[in-house]
Amino acid sequence: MDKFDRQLRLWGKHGQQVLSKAQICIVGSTLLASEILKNLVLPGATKFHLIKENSYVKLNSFLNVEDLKSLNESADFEEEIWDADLMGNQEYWQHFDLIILTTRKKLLRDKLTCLSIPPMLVCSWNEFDGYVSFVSQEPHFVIESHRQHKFPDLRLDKPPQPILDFYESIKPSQLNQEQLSSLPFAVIIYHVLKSLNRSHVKVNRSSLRSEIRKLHNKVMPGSECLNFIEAERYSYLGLQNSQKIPDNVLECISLASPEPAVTFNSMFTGLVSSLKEYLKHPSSERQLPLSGVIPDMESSSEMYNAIQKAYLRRAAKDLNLFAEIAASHTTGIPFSHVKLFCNNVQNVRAVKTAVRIPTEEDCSSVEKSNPAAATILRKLINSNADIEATDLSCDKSQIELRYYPACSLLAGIVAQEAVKIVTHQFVPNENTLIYDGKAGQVYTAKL
Amino acid sequence: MADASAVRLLGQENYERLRSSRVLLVGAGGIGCELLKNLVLMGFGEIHIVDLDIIDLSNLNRQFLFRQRDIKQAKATTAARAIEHVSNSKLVAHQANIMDVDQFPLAWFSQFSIFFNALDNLEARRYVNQIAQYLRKPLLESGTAGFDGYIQPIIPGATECFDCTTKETPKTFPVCTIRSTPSQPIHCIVWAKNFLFSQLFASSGSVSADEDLGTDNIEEIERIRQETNELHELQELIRLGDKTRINDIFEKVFVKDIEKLLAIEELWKTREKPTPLYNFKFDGTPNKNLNTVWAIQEQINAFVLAIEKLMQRLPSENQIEFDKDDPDTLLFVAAAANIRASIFNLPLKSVFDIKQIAGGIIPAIATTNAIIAGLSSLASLRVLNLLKDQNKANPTELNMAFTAKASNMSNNRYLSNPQLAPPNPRCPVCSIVRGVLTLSQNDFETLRLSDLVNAAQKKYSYSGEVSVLDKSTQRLLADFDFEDLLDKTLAEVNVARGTILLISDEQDSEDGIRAPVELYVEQGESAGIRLPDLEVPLVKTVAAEPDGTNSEEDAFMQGEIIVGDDKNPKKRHLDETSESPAKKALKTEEEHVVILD
Repeated sequence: MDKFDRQLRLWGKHGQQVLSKAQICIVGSTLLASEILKNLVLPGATKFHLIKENSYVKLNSFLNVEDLKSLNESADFEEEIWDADLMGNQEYWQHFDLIILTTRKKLLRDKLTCLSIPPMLVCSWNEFDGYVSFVSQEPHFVIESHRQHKFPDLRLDKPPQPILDFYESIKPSQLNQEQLSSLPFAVIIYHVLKSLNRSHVKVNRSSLRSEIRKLHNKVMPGSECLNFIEAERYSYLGLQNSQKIPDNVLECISLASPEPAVTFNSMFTGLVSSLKEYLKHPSSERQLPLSGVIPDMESSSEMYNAIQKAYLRRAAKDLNLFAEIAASHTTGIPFSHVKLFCNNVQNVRAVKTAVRIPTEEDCSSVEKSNPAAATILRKLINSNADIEATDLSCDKSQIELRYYPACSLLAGIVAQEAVKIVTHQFVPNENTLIYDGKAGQVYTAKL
Repeated sequence: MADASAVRLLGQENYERLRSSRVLLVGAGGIGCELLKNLVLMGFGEIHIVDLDIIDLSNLNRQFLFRQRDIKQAKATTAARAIEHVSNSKLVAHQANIMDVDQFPLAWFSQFSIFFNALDNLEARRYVNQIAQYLRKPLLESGTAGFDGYIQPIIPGATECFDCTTKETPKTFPVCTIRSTPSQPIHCIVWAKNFLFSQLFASSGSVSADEDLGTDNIEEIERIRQETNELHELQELIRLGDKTRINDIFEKVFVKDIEKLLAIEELWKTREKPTPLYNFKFDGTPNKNLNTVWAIQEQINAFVLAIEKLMQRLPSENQIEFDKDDPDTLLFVAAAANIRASIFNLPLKSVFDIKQIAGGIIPAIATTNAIIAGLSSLASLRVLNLLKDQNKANPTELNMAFTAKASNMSNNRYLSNPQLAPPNPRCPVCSIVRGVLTLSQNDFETLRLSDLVNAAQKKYSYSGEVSVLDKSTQRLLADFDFEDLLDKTLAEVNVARGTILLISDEQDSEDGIRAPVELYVEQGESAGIRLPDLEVPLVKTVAAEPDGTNSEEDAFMQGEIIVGDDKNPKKRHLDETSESPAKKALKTEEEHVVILD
């Protein structure tokens, strides 16, 4: 029985391990910081570095470090006070996986703006409003995007071997009624597609569908066969172009930089360049590595097992070839990552981050497309300076306390993004989110 | 008190209203803990927290008011105690079921200005929604599942209610698929949990004569009945605690029962035949890794070990319920399901995966709960008109909110927040005219069901036959061809405080039908049937609307992945059926519970 049972089902043991080892630095002793900290201790992040603006500010009374420690005993909180000399040097920041900037001190933000440091989430809130911006020198890459609606990758237009042999081994014209009614839909679509191509009929969804229906009526006049109904429903899979590389993959290829600073990205660059090599290799048949995952199909277990075996064999072959290329091409990519990449390559994603901490200039650029968002962003950026002028007196922290819901909401969003960023699973917001609490609106902007 | 800032943002008058408001929080779990903190720090005057549950280890990844030492303590009281020291609000915790009408009669709910639902089950959500409709109180509904979450303010009479849209309910399977012809691993899991486990360790249920088994094969029906009775005998064996008989149990379930199925040849004409597990033996070494798929021998070993432990426990516990967090019951179900799957040539699964399916586990994380609780508390300020300088919002100008699918953010929207829709005129809950019927103790004992039926026919101008349904228990009390109970007293047909009666017109005349009336039965001083004054309209029967088409497949062809609803958040599907609300109410209530936390 595991305390993290309910979330392991989202990001797996490997995701949990990455999260628990991630070095997370939170800058600022704000109420927002303590809420974010709580939201990251709960799911099991343990390595925290907390930088306070000065020696006399305190986290609020019930989310202090001792209290959070009791949420997770293995959590480790290293606290430091802002030191302009030490922290003005970018070397200081290099070992963090993520920096979360919550401070209202302009001085600190200005200092950090000048440095080339690891990925940051920059956030602030006031009264009912808030924003968070994902800032990094490099794009963010995701192997396991966990897309909700995955499309079955069956390659029916050009099945690679041994899948082709499997489809060819079945001759629908020689099968009896019973055998036909237990054919998996993929087999039906493959053969219908083939016969359309042979007779030079234009292949589209309606020609595929009507051909499937014709066959259905021919073999089982007047009755409804579930496998034929499925074949009609999935007929669009006959239109897949297996040699077309999806846009999301192309984007990752074009954005992967040759000399990345982020550790994950250097591995990702290695995988992407291996992929380019892979696609040139004749055995790949110019198709992406196959995951081997096939959907449920109405059929006999025997037939289903056979089709599944064919896809899994191909997937294993692709993985071997890819691993070979990756090993000769780059060094030190663990096999587990190569495997993850091959299984998820159809859905890999790149997210373009903001390249600097938001400035007045960014507000102006948001202005054109979204004036309401720009107003809030501007107010938040400037209100930092305001509060800094009066410093964090007791009264100001009470303002935060009363308007807690916006803070709580924003802290939830920031921590959510932080988990996605450090695990490189799920797709973070691209790249700035602005919350207008009075109107109840959330805007996104690409800075 | 440093309230100056709150006064500044809300205005003096609103702030005082906030301080004098009493609110109800139903659920002190994932969303509840976060929401309680927000409500306290916002400064609500009095907060009642209701939760029946106790704290479990798997709550601690998100419910920040609880610690390891609190495991097995009540959630409601522990949460209140954990936040007390920063609270300026009066906190009242109830460890109880919100649907308990003795503890929480309708009148109890009327003290609150707003209800917050932070629940994990459909049944309680529906119940509070219904109460909100009776009392015309605003309800803030919320839920999360993994990265997804939603809030929905419900303003009775003005916006759609929780049941205006059809809710997703878990799949159900025909009995014969589960018992005779499984074709997917899930069928074996359902068999192991709902049939085998409960027959051996929990209830002593038998197959009743009129249960729909989903098959017409007489041989098969006979087989299912016989098997159930035989298993009941096995339960007796298990109660004796004789471990040497485990062999017999195994042989019965995985060899003899399969052989008997094989004997029904009709079943295997279009299906692959199962293979009984002959020559099994136990060699004792269990596999400890719950994340991998075990070999069949390891399944057998796990099954035997689990059954031994459960046998030992049975005498002292009398009966054991399946609990996903009880390792003995989980391992029994997982191993039994996998052994059966292997017999039917189906893929096996890891214990981890089976736990999710058998336990109906919905993934849950702290961050989504924080987001949803934040949205819910912010929305409450708008619903209660506590924001300064904002005109009283028209309810349909309020927003609901969905977090965008974490993995599908291509449409540049983090949250979708469509405005609230007006009530669905065909909603099985809020389209119904409702009122409270107060009866005295004496009334329950002397009034007959027929008195009530006659009074309702007269009062609400039903021209002909009406049907009476007890919604709380889903019992039909009377309709045109069921009159057996009419002469019984209300007490005899178990109508009591908290019973909700649905009275529907059974006469479909040309003018349409008279709308149904729902009555909440309260106990009080009043003597005799004094039905509430309600306007019960005649409604025309409406024709069904065509279903919308799905754009998923087309999107794939264009190489873009944008799925339906996100494009147009305002467009939500209404229920297309034209069944009467009463029939629909019966149908939806019958389905099982979907868990959102």
